[in-house]
Amino acid sequence: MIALLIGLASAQEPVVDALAAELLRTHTALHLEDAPALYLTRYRLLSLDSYAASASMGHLVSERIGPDNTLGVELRLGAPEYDNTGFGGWENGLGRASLNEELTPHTARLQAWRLSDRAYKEAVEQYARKRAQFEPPEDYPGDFTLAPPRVLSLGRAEAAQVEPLRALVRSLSEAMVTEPPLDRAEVYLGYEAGEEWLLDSAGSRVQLPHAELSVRAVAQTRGPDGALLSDGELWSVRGPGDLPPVEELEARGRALAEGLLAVAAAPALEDEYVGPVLFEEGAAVDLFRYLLVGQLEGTPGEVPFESWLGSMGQSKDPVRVLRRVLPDGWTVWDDPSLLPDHPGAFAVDAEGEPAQRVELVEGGVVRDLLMSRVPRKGLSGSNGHARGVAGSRLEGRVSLLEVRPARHLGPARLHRQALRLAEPYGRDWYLVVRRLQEPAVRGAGRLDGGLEAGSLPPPVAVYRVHRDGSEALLRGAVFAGVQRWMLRDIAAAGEQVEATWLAPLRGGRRWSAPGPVEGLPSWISAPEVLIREVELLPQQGAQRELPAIPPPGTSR
Amino acid sequence: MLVSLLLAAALAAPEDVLISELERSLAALPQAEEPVHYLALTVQDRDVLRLSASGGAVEQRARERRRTLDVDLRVGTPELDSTHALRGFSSLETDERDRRLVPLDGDEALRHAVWAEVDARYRAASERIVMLRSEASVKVEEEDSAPDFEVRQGQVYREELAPIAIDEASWLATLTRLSVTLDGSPAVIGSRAGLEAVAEGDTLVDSEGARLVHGRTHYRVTLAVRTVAEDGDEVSLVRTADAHRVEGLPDEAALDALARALVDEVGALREAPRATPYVGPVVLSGRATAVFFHEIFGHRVEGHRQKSEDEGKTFAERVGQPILPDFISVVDDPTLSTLGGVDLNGFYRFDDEGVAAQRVSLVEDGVFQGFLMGRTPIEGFAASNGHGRRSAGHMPTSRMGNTLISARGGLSDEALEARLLDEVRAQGLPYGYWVEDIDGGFTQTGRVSPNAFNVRAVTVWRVFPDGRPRELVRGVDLVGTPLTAFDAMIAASEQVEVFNGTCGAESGWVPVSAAAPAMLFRRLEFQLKEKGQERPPLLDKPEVSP
Repeated sequence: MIALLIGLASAQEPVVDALAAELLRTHTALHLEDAPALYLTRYRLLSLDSYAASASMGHLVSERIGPDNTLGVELRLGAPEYDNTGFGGWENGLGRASLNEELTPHTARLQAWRLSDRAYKEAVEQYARKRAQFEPPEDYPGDFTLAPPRVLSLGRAEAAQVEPLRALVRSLSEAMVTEPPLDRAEVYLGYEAGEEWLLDSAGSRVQLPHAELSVRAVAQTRGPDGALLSDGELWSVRGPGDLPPVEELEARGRALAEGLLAVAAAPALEDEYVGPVLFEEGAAVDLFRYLLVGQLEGTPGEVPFESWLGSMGQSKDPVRVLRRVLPDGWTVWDDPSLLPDHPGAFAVDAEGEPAQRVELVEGGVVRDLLMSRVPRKGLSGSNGHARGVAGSRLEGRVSLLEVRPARHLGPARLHRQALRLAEPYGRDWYLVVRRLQEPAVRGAGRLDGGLEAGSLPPPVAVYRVHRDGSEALLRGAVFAGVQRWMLRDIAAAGEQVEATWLAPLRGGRRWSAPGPVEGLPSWISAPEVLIREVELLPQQGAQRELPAIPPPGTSR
Repeated sequence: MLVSLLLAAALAAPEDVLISELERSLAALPQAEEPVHYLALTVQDRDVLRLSASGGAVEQRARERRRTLDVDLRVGTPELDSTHALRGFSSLETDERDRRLVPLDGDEALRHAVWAEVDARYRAASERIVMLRSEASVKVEEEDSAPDFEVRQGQVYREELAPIAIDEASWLATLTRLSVTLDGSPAVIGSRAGLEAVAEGDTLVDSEGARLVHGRTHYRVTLAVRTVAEDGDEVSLVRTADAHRVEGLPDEAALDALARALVDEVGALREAPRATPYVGPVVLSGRATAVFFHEIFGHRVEGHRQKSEDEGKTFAERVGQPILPDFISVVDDPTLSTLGGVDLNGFYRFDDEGVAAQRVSLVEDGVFQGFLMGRTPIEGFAASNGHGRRSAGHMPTSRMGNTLISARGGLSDEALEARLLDEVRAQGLPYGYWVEDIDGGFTQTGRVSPNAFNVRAVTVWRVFPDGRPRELVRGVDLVGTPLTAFDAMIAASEQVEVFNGTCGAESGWVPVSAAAPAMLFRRLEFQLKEKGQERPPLLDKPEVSP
């Protein structure tokens, strides 16, 4: 698929020329007396064809098709050492707007003019607010890092036909029909393909291909006690040709639905559990996704703006270099070029910087962080990991992350070690978690599902594993008291597993994708892990949620 | 380029599926704890085509098909059922119906969605009725003791539903040319020419035997321009044209003339002085009077408001008494499709409770006749008159359709202006006002906040008794309280104008129309309109040929 993406000429060159002209006019002429001058003006244009659809029981519920053109502007005034950004509040010199479906030089330039004017006025005021409230300490790292201009053209991605995608959402949702039916069995799809342009006042002009296709199957039902149970599957690829065969997708959809019915029929965890837990399959990846990734993304939060509404600014968990995050001997790196065909891979980041492999953790200790051109104390300059929506403050984000233990144990040795760890708790069994409930599935479509940073969503199910290796499925468990320090408490690591996930967007939404498939495609390879001590509590049921009317029969 | 046609699904839901699921639910539910006394299933199919252009290029070409399911399930009895308003702390319990999107086709999928929604509604209703019964013994007796629901014989009606019929390419080309006209002035910061085509089909079945399939098509052209005055005042002007069939819309020449006038007007408004607070004689144009009546009068004659303990009930005790000057009469007639050659947006055949639309006399020669009614009775008004309306996901309440104001002894515009100037002189004022255009308004009808209204004036002329020419001003809204304002109407014009719009209230957004003659008020009040604080763009509008 990637071969198709390279070398296609852009139809948007005249539009980009017009935007470049407006950018130049903005940067040179937009000035108010007594206000600091602009030192950087950046435009980011996304010109995409998009398709979004959702389906249930084999039939479309919603569908949207069409061009999706977005312009983001970023105006920085003052100096890189201290500018209008990095301070709380939403009127800050950054902005974005939807452009006409039919992109013309005139309409693009009109929108750029309106956006830039507003962003400039906001930047001037934001700079004054920041000056009034925030005196930078001596070791303040600054707000931005200047870099040489980039001129690069990697072409655009050609969009595929829609009909197979429409057929896919239908057939996949059809495959999820069960008897008895689930409360929700839905499929969401978001696809976009086209090009992205980065322009700046330093002379950069970068054209990048853009192609993402994400499909999410959502299954939800209630346990006999009314407790909500959910599970999902995600496929995130560059384009339709990169998806598994339809038959395989349908089989996985069917397995997802039937698996959830099996969970609903399983007995519930009755007592609190404290003891060793083995995280396998997707749950192992999720453990690092929820507890480790946030400790590796280095872009500092914003200084809060103290307003009568309260403190405005990103509340971000402090990130620390030289913090121990994993046991001794573990290593972690992020390399956006590791899997070139993955939708989370990139050769050049959203600021036009070449992507770099970054050695993040060595010996279990954080050595480096993922960075955009926004510096932090001790780390100046980008390492090619800027990601985010157009017109937002671009942050260093994870892309393709490898987590490697000092050594791997085979399944039999992991089992024995788990039993040894269970002995002090008076048990000859332990719990295994294989899948966590996806917030985007369980919640109202939000990728973070309202989940607090550094916590874990409930498992889909847990398995009680006995000395002889036999397993008993249990539903209705929730984690308690989870903190990021749990990763230091890893007792042993098993086989390497991998999964793709969608990282929540910050600083805005993407307009083209439905909620459950909105986000930054990312990938983690990590080992299955045995945690020395984890607390799991029985989930409270909800009798009032139980059906009063029996469901209608299906044709199954 | 993604190339595809969007799904062309039927505009009517499969009635047999709804009937069988209705019957299955009714058979299953009586065994449960709380008896269901009424169950209605409505599927609303909506096909919307949105075309727009700005700056000489296509801005949007979007087609959206949507099918929503609405379940009206009532447990208890018609006298006291689960829809009754909760009071006190219990009112924190939510009974919001969900706007549930369902698949665009597929019987089994629809059956499943109906089951899930009926079940959810039943469980919610069962919880509410428990609280309501307790409340009846703890709280004081309510002012209105009418039952919660009017039992009726269900009606049967099926009509052929018309799809959207439009030459998209031709209209896009027209809109693109109009957008060039709208973008023509350096003063115009943003502009847009758009067309929205809507085809709707409602399928309703209920436990009383109602079997209804009905719908409508509607087309609206919108021309909009926006500028910012030197003092930061944002001036936006919008002109619309509505028709039930696309052939009823103005032709391109007429629209282009409208666009040119709009550009001239927004330029003139940008340069116009801001008016100051004022009280004195005012003429509202026909369109402005229509909106004025809709807001200030219409919402106060919605029957369901007389049932609520929180409402102001301006007219609850005034049936048979004069409430307006005796030269004014008001009816609401949703059965009227067209008035004076203008298609009316508030036209419908059946309301959202399955009742045929009816012409209702509200005020005759100034005397109040009665309320707009849905199926929620109030004391003295036991029956619906076909005004129970809602948008998807809301419980129907009594709402307006086509509100028509008429006045005996109407004057020509010239004579009306002369009467205005006579009033100005009589009150010893230097000038009066003629409000040419408004863009909406709102009113408060509850008891907690002042029962005031605000009508958003856009184009306002200052008129002088000394022969000076009219002067355009900006930056004021009409404010006041209803009874005082009604008392101040002293004359009307002979020419009636129509306002087509969409009204938002507790039961969602519904299409409405209002028609009225221009009206002279002895005294009305202006207050300053909220003003923008941003300077106009610092750089000139870029000049690139579209």
